Amino acid sequence: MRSSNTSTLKWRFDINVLRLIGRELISDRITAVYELVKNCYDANAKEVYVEFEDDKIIVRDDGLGMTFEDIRDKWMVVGTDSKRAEHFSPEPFRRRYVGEKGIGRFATDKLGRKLLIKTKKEGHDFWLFVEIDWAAYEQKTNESKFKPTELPEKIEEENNQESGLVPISLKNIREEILLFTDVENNYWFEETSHLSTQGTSLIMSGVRDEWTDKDLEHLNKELSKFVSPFYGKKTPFQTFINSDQHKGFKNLEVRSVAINLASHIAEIKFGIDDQTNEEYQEFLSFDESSGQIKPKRISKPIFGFIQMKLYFFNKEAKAKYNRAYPNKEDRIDGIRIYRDGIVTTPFAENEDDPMKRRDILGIDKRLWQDTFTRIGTREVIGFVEITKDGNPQIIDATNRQDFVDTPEYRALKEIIIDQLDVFSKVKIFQRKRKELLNEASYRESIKDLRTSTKLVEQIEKQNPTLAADLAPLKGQLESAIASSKRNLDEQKKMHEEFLRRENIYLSLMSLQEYAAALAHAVRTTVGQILRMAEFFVEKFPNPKYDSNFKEYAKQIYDDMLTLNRVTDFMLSYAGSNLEFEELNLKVLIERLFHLYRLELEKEKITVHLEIDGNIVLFANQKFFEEVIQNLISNSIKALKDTENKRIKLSGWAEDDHFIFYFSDNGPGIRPEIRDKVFDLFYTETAKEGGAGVGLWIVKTRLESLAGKVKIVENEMNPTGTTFQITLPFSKN
Amino acid sequence: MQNPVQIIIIDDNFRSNDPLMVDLQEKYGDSNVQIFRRPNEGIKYVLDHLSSKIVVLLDMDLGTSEKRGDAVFAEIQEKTLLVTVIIMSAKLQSLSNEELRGFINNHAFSAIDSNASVKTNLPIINKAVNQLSLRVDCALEEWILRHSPEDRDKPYLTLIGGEKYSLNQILAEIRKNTELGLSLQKKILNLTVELLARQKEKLAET
Repeated sequence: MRSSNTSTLKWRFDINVLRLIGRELISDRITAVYELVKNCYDANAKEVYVEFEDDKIIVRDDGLGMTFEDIRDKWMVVGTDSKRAEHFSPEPFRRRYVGEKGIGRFATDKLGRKLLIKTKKEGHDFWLFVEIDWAAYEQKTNESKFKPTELPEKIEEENNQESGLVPISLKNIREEILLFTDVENNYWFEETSHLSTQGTSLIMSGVRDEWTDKDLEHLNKELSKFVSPFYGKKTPFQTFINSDQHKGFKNLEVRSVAINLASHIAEIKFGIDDQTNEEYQEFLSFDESSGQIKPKRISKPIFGFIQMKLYFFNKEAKAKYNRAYPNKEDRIDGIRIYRDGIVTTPFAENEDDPMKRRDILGIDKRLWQDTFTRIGTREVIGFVEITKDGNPQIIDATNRQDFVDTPEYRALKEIIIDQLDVFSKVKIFQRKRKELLNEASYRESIKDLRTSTKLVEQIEKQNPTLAADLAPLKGQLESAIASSKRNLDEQKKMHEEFLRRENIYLSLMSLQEYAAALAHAVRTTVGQILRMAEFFVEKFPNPKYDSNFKEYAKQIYDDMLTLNRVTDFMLSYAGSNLEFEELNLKVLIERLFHLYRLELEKEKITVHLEIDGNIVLFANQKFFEEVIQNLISNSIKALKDTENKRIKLSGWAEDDHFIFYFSDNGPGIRPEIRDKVFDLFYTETAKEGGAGVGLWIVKTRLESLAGKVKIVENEMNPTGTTFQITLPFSKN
Repeated sequence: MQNPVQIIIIDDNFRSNDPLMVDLQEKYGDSNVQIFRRPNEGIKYVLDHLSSKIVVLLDMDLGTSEKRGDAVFAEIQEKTLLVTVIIMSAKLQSLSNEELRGFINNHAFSAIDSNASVKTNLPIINKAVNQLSLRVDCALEEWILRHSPEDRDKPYLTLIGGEKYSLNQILAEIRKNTELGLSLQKKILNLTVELLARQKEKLAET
């Protein structure tokens, strides 16, 4: 019952802002509810209920509540954001405000046509009610648009229907007037004796869209990730979804169901070392001997300190999860970034179609690298914890679609992907162990069968009369041994076949990338040739352009040669043998340098080779040869103007890979172009005949061998270039 | 004389002797057409020269280790809306809908195929340059240039708060998209429309 008379309240704001913020910036309904829950969090609420009733959605919390003044002066006044002056909510939680943009309130318009606010502060003996009818605001705007009232008389007089200009000016002026609306909103108070109660309910009626079970499940999923598990413990914040009309949503506690079933959990933290007193950041590493993930320490990363918790689901864990939570597979959906405990905006949106979901961290975009062991977003749930103060360079983009592309953000992305790669190693380790176990069990059973055969033979020796009876048993044991041996051989063959297919697959996938890069590069070159040919067509003859004509004729010729070389390379690829084999690297590399000996002697280049003699690599010979040949020919060009020309190649085995350094003492490569030199058609040696193809071949060939190349600190004096190349002995 | 238009090309692969360069330099002057291979250098140049009239030809794919064109575009747009940007790409058809929406919503002037002929692309660039002169800041600049250099630096406008602004300062405020600049621009437009409405006869004479 209303205990006081209803009064009215007016807010003055631009209706366009309401539209922009309420309907357009808040892209979907899930985000709208999300924004409202954020406001509850900011109000120190401990429990939030999102309730769905007939034609109503209610967001109810036990937070601090609002006074009449709060509502009148702050709640819907654009540009007034009380949260900006203060960054944290009051005691006891001191939560960092997350609804900073002050847009949560406009989300109510996205959800329903009418809003009733019911709110109360602790200690007050009344509830405050405010009614807002969004439709009235819209109606007001529409009405005003066509009413020529309130316009200055002069313009009215001069309004001439024949001129097209006047209506524009009228419209402008009307819009100016419409910046402020005069809709009256009812409010009243109701007495209560429960002084200690506090909280706010937003009761939205005239619900704009239908909410299905599926929508509620999406909401459940998104809300379950609102607070990071690191932070949840510090300040209790629990959300419930309640609906009688949707099955399974009666006071449903929103919680992350998936993480309990993960097969592996890893966590990294940061802190101060007790002994050295130095700050450190933990970083995951995989210990081959124990098969365990262990954190290692590194110094402070450029993006600041982070905490991260990763829950990895191997095949068995995923199957278990799917049995426990059918049709909720999309709950395992990758890594999210939390700032001060709350999920960052780019991750708050809802997308039904998994193909359209944005892969902000680029986890699934890693193309074909390690296809068979790569960890994708469907196998991991992760919580990366950053703070506003500790990681100031990780900034939400203004379009709320991503983070701003800063070097710090790039480094953060890189480190997150690196952490996932640790789980790839777990995957490989487990597969290997399984194979070994299978092999061991076959060997064990062969051994057992042999022992049994010997026993039978002994019995036969002692009791020759039993020979006829024991003969069938002996026969069975022999055939069991033969069959176990066949199984063992079969398994070995299958393993080899798997490796062979994997290698071929990797090569083919790299070919796909070649094709894309090549098509792009060929098109660019053809475009350049086209414009130069066009220049001749349009301007020849004209003495003014003689130098251009000459230059372009030469350029067209060079471009054609480059195109020729690239297509030759593609043809060679088409004919390549994609099989992998064991290669003795020392022998192979020495033979390759021998092939170049005449050219190296002619250029007076001294070669120094230092390769460990016993290294055998399982790789494709042609690909490896092309890597070395292109590095040699790149160095010959780079050394053109150098005195005392030197090339050095030193290589050795390190853990599970072969590492070698290829150096020359040429002029060197400037640090700022070190990444670019591997791009197709990028060249710094155009005068020496460089077409920007060689180092691209080096990079792409190495990738198809699951290897890597990078330019590292030069080991030659005083100038030079050093390439570091790593190749795994076997991907298994 | 009016300040010349500058054509800024941000593209890591654009050749300095490309035939499009020859035509652009011929039309707009050698020193007014510049290529920046690294996006940050291009952005810095544009933002340091906001008082000039600039058309940017921006390549989408600026190399693996660099920002993408859309990020460069957003960075420029964040500071000013008065630089005309033409998006260039060798793979126009593979731009995502999200990217295209971003360009349209943020008023990119046009998107062109960087492999197309000079005959196709030059008219689009010329159109962008011509459009510059239709804008308030450029019209204002033309008008300011009719004043003597000394007059241009004299206080012209006094705000309620007492700050004084010369004509040149007003122009800079508009170009830099400051609050004052935006408000002045709006007022100039409103006033122009109102004046036109009152003096239609004069308009008809022109």
